[in-house]
Amino acid sequence: MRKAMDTRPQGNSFGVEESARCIVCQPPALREQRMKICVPREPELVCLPVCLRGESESEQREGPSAEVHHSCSVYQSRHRGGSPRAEHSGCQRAAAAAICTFLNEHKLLGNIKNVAKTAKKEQLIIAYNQLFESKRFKGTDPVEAVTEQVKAVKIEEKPKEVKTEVVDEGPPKYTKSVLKKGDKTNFPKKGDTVSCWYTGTLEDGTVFDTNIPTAARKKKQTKPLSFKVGMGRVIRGWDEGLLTMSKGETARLEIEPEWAYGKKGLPDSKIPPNAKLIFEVELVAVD
Amino acid sequence: MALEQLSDVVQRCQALPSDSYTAEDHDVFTIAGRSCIEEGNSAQVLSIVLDEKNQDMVRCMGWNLLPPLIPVLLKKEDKNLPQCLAIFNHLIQTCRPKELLIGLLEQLEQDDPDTIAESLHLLLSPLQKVLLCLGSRKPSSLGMTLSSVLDQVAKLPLPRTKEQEEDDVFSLCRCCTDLTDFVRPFVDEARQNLLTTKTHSEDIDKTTAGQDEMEDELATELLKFCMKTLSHPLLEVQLRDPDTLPVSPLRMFATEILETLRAIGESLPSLVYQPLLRRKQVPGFLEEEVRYPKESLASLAHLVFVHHLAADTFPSVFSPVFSLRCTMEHILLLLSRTEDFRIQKGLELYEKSLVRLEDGSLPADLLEIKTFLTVPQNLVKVMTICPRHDLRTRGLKVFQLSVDKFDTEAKYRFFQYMLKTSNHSGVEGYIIKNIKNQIDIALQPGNSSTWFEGVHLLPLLRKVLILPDGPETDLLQYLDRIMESLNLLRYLVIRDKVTENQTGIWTELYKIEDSFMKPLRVGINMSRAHYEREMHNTMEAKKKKKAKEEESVLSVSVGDEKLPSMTSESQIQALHSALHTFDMIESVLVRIEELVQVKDDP
Repeated sequence: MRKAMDTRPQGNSFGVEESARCIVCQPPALREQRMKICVPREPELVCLPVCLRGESESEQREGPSAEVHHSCSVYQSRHRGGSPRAEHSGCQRAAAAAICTFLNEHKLLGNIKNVAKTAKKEQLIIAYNQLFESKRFKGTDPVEAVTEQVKAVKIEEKPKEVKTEVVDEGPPKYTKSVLKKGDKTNFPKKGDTVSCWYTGTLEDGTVFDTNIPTAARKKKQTKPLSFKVGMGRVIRGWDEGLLTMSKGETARLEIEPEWAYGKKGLPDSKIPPNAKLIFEVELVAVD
Repeated sequence: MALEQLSDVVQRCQALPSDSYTAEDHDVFTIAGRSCIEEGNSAQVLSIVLDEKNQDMVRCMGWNLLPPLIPVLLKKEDKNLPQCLAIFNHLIQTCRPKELLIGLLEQLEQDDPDTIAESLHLLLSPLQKVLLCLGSRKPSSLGMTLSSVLDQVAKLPLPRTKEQEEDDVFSLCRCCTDLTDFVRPFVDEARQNLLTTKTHSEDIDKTTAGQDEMEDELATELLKFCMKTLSHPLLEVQLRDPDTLPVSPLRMFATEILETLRAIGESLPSLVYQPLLRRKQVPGFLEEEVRYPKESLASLAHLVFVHHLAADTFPSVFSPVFSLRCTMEHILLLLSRTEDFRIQKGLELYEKSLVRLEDGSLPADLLEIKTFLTVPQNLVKVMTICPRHDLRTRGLKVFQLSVDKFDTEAKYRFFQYMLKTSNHSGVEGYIIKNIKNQIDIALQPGNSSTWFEGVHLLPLLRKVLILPDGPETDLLQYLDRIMESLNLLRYLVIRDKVTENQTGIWTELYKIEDSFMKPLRVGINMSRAHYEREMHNTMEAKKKKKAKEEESVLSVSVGDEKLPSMTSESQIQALHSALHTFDMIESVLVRIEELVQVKDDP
């Protein structure tokens, strides 16, 4: 879900300080702090989320041409910039639905400008506090995965659905450079059987594995390595990397240890702990 | 007499063409020839056999002379040895391969281990020569031969120690080496076939279709051979590492078998990971299960992952979790019988597969795979029932290692499962100790988890803090479990402040008092009273110095010998230690009650 929503790079891409972002969009630590110090003195400006302050305010901050990209789904559809973003996924709509009932209850639905004009200070403070206490902001749709931040856990004997580990996608832990282009049409899907020739080296150049027949090994027959891709049978760097390759392509994959053999390496083998692995892979066939 | 008969029949047959020899001619030749050799007239037989005029006859009937020749050759000190050897060699070169094969194979069958080893050593080389002369019948004959040979090898005692392997008193190692030499030309041929089929794979040539079938048959026979050797002797012997034993015939044999598998086109990863791979149905006369017996694959996995044979050729790209999922099947097989060597190999394979994983990296959904539940159950059997102390200890070590690799949720569910199914107080106690450790970790700042504190912990605690039979629970039998439960409770009461109640223990405490602490208190009192009474009775009986043996309710016999009844002193000692145990349990219980009181009183 994060991927779908955060397509812009993280951080202050539009010049708004993290602390000035609306409380919904802030990182949790900052949010807690914010809640403690947010004693409304000048409610219209200080305590209102950026989004609620109205377009003139935003314009002042970023300039008239800047798009106020907002990862808070409820405000995206009301964004001045126009049409709802193409990436609106079902979960966004559902999240939007969830928060709409909240807004409905607090009579805060409608155009931002109008809400800012018509809602009273006390009303907004109450809504604001309640929003955080009841946690009915984005991503609380019960169908989605529950993250550690939301402790709405059902008490069961065998709570299989509850995931407490945060699935952090993060940036890909490998890089690929294409050495020879493939046919760019035959890309493997998850579960397809791929065959490849490969050579694996460590950062210092030591070759720890290869299946390419050399002159000396011509007598011993060798076949390309075949396996089902995308199924977790090989190290993650391979699974992810090969899915981006097309038939006939030769690529150089540099894989961080997290997506290779990690802290343990391969004991009793040539791969030490925390080793970055470099593979030259030729995708020969896709079935 | 026999010699004359032999000379007669030979002379008679010299004039006849070979297809008109009668059955009687065959019989006379056979009986007379054998008698001559047995009587020591091998020199004459040799001259007959070498005579050019007799070659047709020799070709037809000579193979019948094998039975008496072989024992002479095996004896080695016989003065007729050189002549017999000469006869033998000539027969091998002259007679028809098909018949020679039958004759030689018959001679392989022996009962005495020494003779078995010697006859194998003697006959493998001629068998090889004969087989190489066979044309299209080679694969099936090779299969037959290998099968007989391995049956004979199975009768040899296996070396159990490094010294025994070095001494090789029963020549098993030499047989393995001979066997490697024996199959070498066939393996080379299979390798060559594979290369040619690869290069010709695009041309579908109908005339070579038959050829391909034969080549496949050869590979199939060699595959059967490899699979059989993996089961015996390779599964049952312990291979030594190069550091321990630099020159190890058994290790070389194992390496050769793996090399043979490669030569016939079998991919080691496919074999070892077979449990999870759905292989294409290979058209042929062997079913999948028969073609790749599970036991052989388990043996292979052990060779690859524990002894690192063929490490150079095994790809280093597979994910350790996938590798574990596959090897769990092999481990299950190895741990499901009680032979020491299998359990040892199972434990070694399990350990090697686990150390490649990072702690806390295995997710809970792995527990939905059956092997991840049945292997620990087998491991419990090893830890509790296996007669060998070192295997029990190792089993426990591997068990803890497997627990460490699960992530928090998986640990939680695993502990629940083990508490429900292990039915052994010691194991339960060990699990409860693990639970305590996990709670301790969860309570440390930054580690909070919902599994070992908060809402999920209480259901687990309810399963831990319980007396299996209420106040009547046999405290001595369940001692391990009870002590660990009390330790856990004491830990929680000390570590978790009343004001914080992170684990929820304080809100639950009144229930625990009712369901655990009070019945335990009652149980201790009851047991103590009972044992004190027993002690009293025993001491009274001892004082009265009853001369005759105490009438006991039951007697124990070991190996047809009835064990003597316990003496009064031993009985009193046992009762004393029981009472001490109750004191120990009570002391922890009292401590907990104190701590609870302190916290209750403001």
